[in-house]
Amino acid sequence: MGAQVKKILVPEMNLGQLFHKVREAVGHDTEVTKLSRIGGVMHSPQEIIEALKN
Amino acid sequence: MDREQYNQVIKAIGKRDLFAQGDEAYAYGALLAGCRFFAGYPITPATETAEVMSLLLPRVGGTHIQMEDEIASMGAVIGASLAGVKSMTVTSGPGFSLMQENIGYACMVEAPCVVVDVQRSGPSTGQPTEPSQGDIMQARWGSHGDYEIIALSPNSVQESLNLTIECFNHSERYRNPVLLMTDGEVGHMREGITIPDYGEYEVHEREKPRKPAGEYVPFLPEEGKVPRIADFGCGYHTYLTGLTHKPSGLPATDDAAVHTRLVTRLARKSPKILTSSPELKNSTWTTLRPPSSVTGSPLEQLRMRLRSCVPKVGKSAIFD
Repeated sequence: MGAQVKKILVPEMNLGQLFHKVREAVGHDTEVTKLSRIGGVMHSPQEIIEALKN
Repeated sequence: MDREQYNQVIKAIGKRDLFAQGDEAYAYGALLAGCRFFAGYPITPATETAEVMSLLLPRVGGTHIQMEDEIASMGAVIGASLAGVKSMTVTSGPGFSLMQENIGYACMVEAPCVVVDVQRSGPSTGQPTEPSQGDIMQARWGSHGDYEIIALSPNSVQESLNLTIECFNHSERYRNPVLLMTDGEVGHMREGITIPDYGEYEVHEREKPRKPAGEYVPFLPEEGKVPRIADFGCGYHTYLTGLTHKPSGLPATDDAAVHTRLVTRLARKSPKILTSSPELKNSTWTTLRPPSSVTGSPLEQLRMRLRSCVPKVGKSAIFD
């Protein structure tokens, strides 16, 4: 799958956990970026869209 | 640890050149680092450490207690540590699983302590007498939430002693639980070891608050990212909770900013273990030169052996 997409964004409500497994799975095929958020406030759709644009 | 205390430890052990197994070396290393409290529950292949501690701790003015299980052992270790005594427990896989909850608590209340995991084959009770290295991921991710952990791993009996001392130094310096991830093979291996002389090794003593009792804020670092500890009973007010807390120590569980600030500090307070420690830095890369009679050629291999199970280079290997 990694080779089929330009970039993978992993929004997680932690400091980066599943991100590591995703990066391990896709290897060097594509860029994997995390979008971490802690403190109990969920990611907003806008925040995720913005992160995908960058 | 002054010279008198060092001499007391050597007198308790008997001599400085020994033929010892890894499990004994963890105990000797702990005593040399100033550990004076041990709580644990027997388990193969880690029991010998508890035996040595039960024998030697009373001779150096320390306390050994056998608890009802590993959950209680870890709780006792945290309590003793926050009362101002360097503390340790030893276990193997099944006990390490039980300790995870309190390891997370120790991370949250920033209780310095050392946990030695003499790994055996799992899952569950598995193969008690067979070594394994199956708890590495649990060392990193065993308790819930985001936290950083320091985990060292010895490959000889001498290194078992040296790294146990280093574990205590890291735990006091960074105010964090430190894991010694060893295994049944190293724990039960016997080798000649030499106990370092007084002054030949570093002992990091706990840094007391500089501020007077009235101005002390328990979880506000006076400098850097590690707050100084006012030991329980020393006259300072302090408050400990596993809940998200403000610098005062009082809970503030619905404030995203307080949580983010606290957990980010906890996750980043011990960033450069691998590069800042001479012991780890100088010995990560080893050149192996097998005799030519064995390999048939003067082959030189370069191997990398991590003495830290959770390598930290740069800001934070995991979260940055």
